Amino acid sequence: MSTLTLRNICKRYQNDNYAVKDFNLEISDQEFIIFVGPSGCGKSTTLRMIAGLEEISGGELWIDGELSNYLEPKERNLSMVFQNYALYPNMTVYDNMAFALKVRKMPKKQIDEKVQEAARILEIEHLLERYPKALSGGQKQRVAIGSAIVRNPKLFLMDEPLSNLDAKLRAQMRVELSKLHKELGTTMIYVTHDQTEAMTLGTRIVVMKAGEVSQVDSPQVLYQHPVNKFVAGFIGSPSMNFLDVSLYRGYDVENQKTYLTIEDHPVYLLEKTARLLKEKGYHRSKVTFGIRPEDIYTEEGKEANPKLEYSEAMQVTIIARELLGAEVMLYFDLEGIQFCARVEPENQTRAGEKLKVYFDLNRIHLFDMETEQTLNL
Amino acid sequence: MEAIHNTAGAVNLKSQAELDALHRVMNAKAKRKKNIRTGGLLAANIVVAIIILLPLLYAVSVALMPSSELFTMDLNVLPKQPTLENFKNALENVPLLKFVLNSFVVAGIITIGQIITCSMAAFAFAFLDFKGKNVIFMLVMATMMIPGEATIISNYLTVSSWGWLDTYQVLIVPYLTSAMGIFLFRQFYMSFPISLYESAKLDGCGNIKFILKILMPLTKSAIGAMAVYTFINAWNMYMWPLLVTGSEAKRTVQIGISMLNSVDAQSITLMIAGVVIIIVPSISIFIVGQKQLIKGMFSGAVKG
Repeated sequence: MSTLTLRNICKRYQNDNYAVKDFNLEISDQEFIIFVGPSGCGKSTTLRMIAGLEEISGGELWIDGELSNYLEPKERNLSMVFQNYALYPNMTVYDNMAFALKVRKMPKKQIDEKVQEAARILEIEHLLERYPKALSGGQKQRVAIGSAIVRNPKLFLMDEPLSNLDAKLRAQMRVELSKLHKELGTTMIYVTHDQTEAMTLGTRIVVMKAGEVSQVDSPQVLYQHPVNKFVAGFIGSPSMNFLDVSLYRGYDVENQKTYLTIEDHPVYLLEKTARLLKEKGYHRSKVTFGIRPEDIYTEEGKEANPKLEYSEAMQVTIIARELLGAEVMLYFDLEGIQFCARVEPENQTRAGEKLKVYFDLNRIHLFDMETEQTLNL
Repeated sequence: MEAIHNTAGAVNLKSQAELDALHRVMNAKAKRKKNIRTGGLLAANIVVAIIILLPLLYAVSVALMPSSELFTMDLNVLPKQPTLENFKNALENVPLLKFVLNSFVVAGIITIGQIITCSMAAFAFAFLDFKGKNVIFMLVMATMMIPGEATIISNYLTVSSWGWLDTYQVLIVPYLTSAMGIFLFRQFYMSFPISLYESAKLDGCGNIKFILKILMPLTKSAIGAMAVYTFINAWNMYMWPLLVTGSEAKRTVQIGISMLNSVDAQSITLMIAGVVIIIVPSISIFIVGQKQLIKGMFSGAVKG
C-alpha cells in the first residue's frame, strides 16, 4: 500500500531555469502512472526527484503521508529500473538480484526465497548463474526488473525501460509489464517518450511539456478530450491534423449556424459546439482546427457509420498513399497543410486521384490560436 | 537472371573430386600467403626488439665479463670467459639486498597508498556533486605542471624541521597520492555508467561499499595499470631519496647503486652488474603487469 503526493514540486537550476515547475499530482495505491512528453520536458527529472537522485528545489514530496524531500534514496524504499538496465557486470544474475537485500543484511535463506520467487515470475530461473554480458537485451531487462521487485518496494520507478529493445521485443515486454503490474499490485511510475507505451500501459497519463504538466488523465480521456493543442498533437499516431481557420456565423435567419471555412468550403459546426464557442466569446475569429486521421471518412466509411454526424463533402487530391496492412493512410493538402486520413484497406484511391472526404463533427477539436487551449471542451 | 543460371550450372558441372582438388589448391595458396605475412611481421618485430633491447642485452653481457676484457681495443660484444665475479663483488661491496628490500617496502607502500587515495579522490571527482568541484580538480591538475625539482628544497626543509630525515616515512609520505593517478582514475570512472552508481544508491549501498564492491572489481585494469606505473616510478626515484637519506639502512637501490661508483675503485663491470641486479624487479613487474598496463592506459581513453 503506498500513496504518493507531489505538491508544487520544482527543479530549479542556476539563474532561475526551471527543469520542472509546480508539478502537482496525487497517486493512489496500485496505479500505473505514465510520465510522457518530448525529450527535455522534465519527466525524467521528476522521476529522479521522487527517487531521491536529484534534489528537490521546491515543493513537497509525500510518500505514504510522510514528507520525504530530505530522505536518502535508500530510505525511501523505492526501486528503479534504468534505461540501460544498470546491472552490475561483475556479479551473476542471482547476485545482481540479491544485492539490494544483501546490503540490507537480510538472512541468506530469505534472500534465496525472494530471488527464486522473482525469477519464477519473470521466467529467468535458468539464467541465474549467468553474468550480464551473456544475456540478451530482453533478458537483461527482465533481470533489471527482477532486482527491482525482490525488495518489495513501495513504488516502482521506471525510466524508459524499453527504449533499448527492438520493436518486437518492446511490444512483448509491454504486455508483460502490464501483466506484472496486475500480479504485483505495486504502484508504478513509468517514464517514456513513446506515446504508444503510454497509452497501452497507463491507468493515468501525465503529459508534460517544458517542465510543466499539460494534462493528467486516463488514456481514453486524454485521447478524446485533450485540453490543449500540444496534448492533442502528442497523443495519437499519426498525430492530429491541424489547420488555422476562420469562424463565421451565418447571416440569414434560417441558417444561423456557426461555421468555419477550409479552402472556401464551409464546415458547419454542431449546435453544442457553436454554443460553447459563443459562451467563450469566439465568433468571427481565427481558431486552430484539429481532427484525427481516423475521424476523416470517405464515402464508403460514411455509409458504414450512418449514425455519425458528418460535415459537407470536401473534394481533395490525394498526394500519397500508404498501405499498412489493416488500414490505409491517405495524404492530401488542405490550404497547403498536409492532412492524413486513416481509411479502410479496401480503398483503392491512388496518388493524384480525387476523393471526397467528410469530417466527423463530434470529433472536431478547436483551439485558441494563442493560448492553444481547447475551446470545445 | 539467365547469366546467373548459367554460371550456377557451370559450378554444378564439376565433380566432387575436382571440387576437392580446387579446395586444396586454394587453401594452400591462402595458407602460404598468410605464412609469408606472419613471417614478415615476426622478422620485423625481432629486428626492432633487438635494436631496442641492445643496450640492455649489452649490459647483461658486460656484467658477465671480467673487467680486463672490457678495456681492450677489440670490440667485445659477448664475454669470452663469462664470470659471476662481478655480481658477487657488487653484493659484497655494498648491502645491495638491503637496498632492494628498502626499495620494495617504499615502492610497495607508495603503490598501495596511491591506489587508495587516488581512487577515492577520483571517485569524488567523477561521481559526487559538490561546490567547487571543478576548481579543486583544476588545482589538482595544476600541481602536475610544477616540476618536482622546484619544490624539492622547500620540501626538504619541511621534513627536516619535523626530524623525519633518514626514515621510511620521509620516503613514503610525500608520494602517497599523485595528481597523475587521480587523473587516470577519474578518466576511467567518467566512462563508468552513472546509472550503476544511482542504482546502487537506491539499493541502499553507501559510497565506500560501492567503491569496494562494484567500482574496484570493475576497474581492475585501471588499478593494475596504475599499480605498475606507480611501482616502477617509485622504484626509480632518485633525487628525493638521495637528499633525505643518509645511512645505508634507509637507502634505496638507485642511490645504493651509485655507491658502487667510487673514485678510488672505478669498475664499470661491477657497476653494471649492480644495475642488472636492480632492474630485474622492475622488469619482472612490468612483464607480469604489462597486459593490465596497456589495457588500462588505453581503455579509458577510447571509451566514450
